[in-house]
Amino acid sequence: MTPLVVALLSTMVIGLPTALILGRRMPAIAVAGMAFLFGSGIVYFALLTISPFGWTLPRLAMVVLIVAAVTLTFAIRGPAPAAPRIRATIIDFATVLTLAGYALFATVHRAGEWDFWAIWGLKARVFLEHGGIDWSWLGSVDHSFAHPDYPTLLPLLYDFAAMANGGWDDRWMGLVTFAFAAAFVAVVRGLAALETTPWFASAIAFGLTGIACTPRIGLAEAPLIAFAGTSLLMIRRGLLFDDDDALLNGAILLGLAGSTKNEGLALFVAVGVAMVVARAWRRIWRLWPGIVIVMPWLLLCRAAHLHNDLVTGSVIARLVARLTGMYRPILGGLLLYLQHRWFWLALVVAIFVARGRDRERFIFSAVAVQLAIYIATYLYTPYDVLWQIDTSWDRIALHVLAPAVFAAALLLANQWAEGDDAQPESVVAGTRNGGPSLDEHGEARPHL
Amino acid sequence: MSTRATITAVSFITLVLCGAAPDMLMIPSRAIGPLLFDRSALQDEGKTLPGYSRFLDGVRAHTKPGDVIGLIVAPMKWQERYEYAFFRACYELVGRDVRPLIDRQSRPLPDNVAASHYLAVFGPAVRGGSFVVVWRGAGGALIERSP
Repeated sequence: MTPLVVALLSTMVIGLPTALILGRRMPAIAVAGMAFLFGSGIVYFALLTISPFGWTLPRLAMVVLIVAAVTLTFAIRGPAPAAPRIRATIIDFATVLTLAGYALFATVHRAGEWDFWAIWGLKARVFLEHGGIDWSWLGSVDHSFAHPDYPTLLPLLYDFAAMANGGWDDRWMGLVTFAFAAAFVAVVRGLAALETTPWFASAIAFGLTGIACTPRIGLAEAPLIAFAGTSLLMIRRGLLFDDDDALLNGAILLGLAGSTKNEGLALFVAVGVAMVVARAWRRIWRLWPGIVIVMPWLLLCRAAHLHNDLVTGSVIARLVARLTGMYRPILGGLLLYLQHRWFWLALVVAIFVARGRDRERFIFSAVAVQLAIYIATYLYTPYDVLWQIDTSWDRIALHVLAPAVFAAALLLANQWAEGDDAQPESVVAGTRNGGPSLDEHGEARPHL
Repeated sequence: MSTRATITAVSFITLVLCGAAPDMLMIPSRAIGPLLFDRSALQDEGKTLPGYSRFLDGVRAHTKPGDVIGLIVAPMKWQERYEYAFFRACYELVGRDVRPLIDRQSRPLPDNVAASHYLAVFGPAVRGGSFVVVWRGAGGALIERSP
């Protein structure tokens, strides 16, 4: 276990300089979460870069330093105000206890879920054995079950851990899943603290632990929830408060989401549409770092002739047939196989009750479009539709539930507190550029 | 508190409680010995092929990287355990070239049989004959194919 813990802490250290600069207006806890997420991205790029030359720790260390330096050069800005401090509450203790429980849950057995040893862990192990990405293995028809076109951030992170361990050992790989969950909750806690009171911010972070602590240990759900969720929340912050750093954070995290699963690539479309809906289309170009991040894997896949299994055969014919003949069973399946129905219902009610939901156009639009993309996929999948819905719908719907819950909860929290004198703990420390401006009552005023 | 404020408060609290993870919250407060959550339920092997991992450990120990290994798991039906067995073997025998001996429609793949250096047989009893049994144990056997 120790080498894996060292690898995860190293990942955080690798990402810390970038997080400190890009998160200079964020509370320390958010910076800590971002450090792990950025570090994962840097490790991924480093291993991808040296793959043709063979993976060795010295080579990896050298490239990590170069990639980190390039990232820092790109990210350095002028002086910024002091990062806001946040105040912990007893609810934060419950959140920490929940995460501690999750760490135990994630490591009680070796990572053994089907998609771990058939996809994510399998690829990592094959790559480790090969000393780099094994393109011939990925291209073999016998291995098509492993979805060879899937982005490889998670397998390469497993490989980094295995290299630190001196060899493959999946006994403690659940800690990687835990690390992503903890990073996500940390960022959420920090972002919530910038916009509401300590108690409400704590409650919002606590209320998202159920999503972050996915029971699917070893799979890419936790990383995608972390990257997609923090990306949407950062872009939201960038649009609402004219925070260029947050927008840049969001773009980078969006790219890392796209480097984790194909659903992350779909998120680019959702974000683009949502920015148009939020009347921020002039700022779409600021997402270009995300495009740069996903391009290497997409180009490599194309060069290696790796294709997505969902687009095999006649896509149009399946689409038309299901739209005309199967929409009722598909709708029924979407309702039947959605497991967190009460949560979704609570979210819909919350959005309905909250005032000022127009303010959160971006988040709600992005979530709606992403869900629509998922549903559209079921219309043309070459597999049995109801089987596909049964085995994936509830899992993938959770990918974007967290940002929607964050936005709705924040609206309700501030609505509830309207009559109080309590101020969001960091509002008074914020500045015009990157922080909320204050109205005559000292309350945060968003910009859109 | 006004009606609207009450509805707001109830909505917020409901949303937070729906999203919390009370199961995880309770874990640290219980004894670690009998763990609250038995994740073995999520591990397929106990239900699908008891002992299969130990069999694959034996196959790994008696082969070397680069060996081509054909897989025989009774019954030879893709949807009935063979899919699981093949995927699992790919994971546990990384470095070896594991070949399925049937396709997804359960049709034989004689080319893969011909290419295999070894046959890993799990389930049916293997009796001596014109082939060499390299290893026997954990519910199966490893056979060396004659060239």
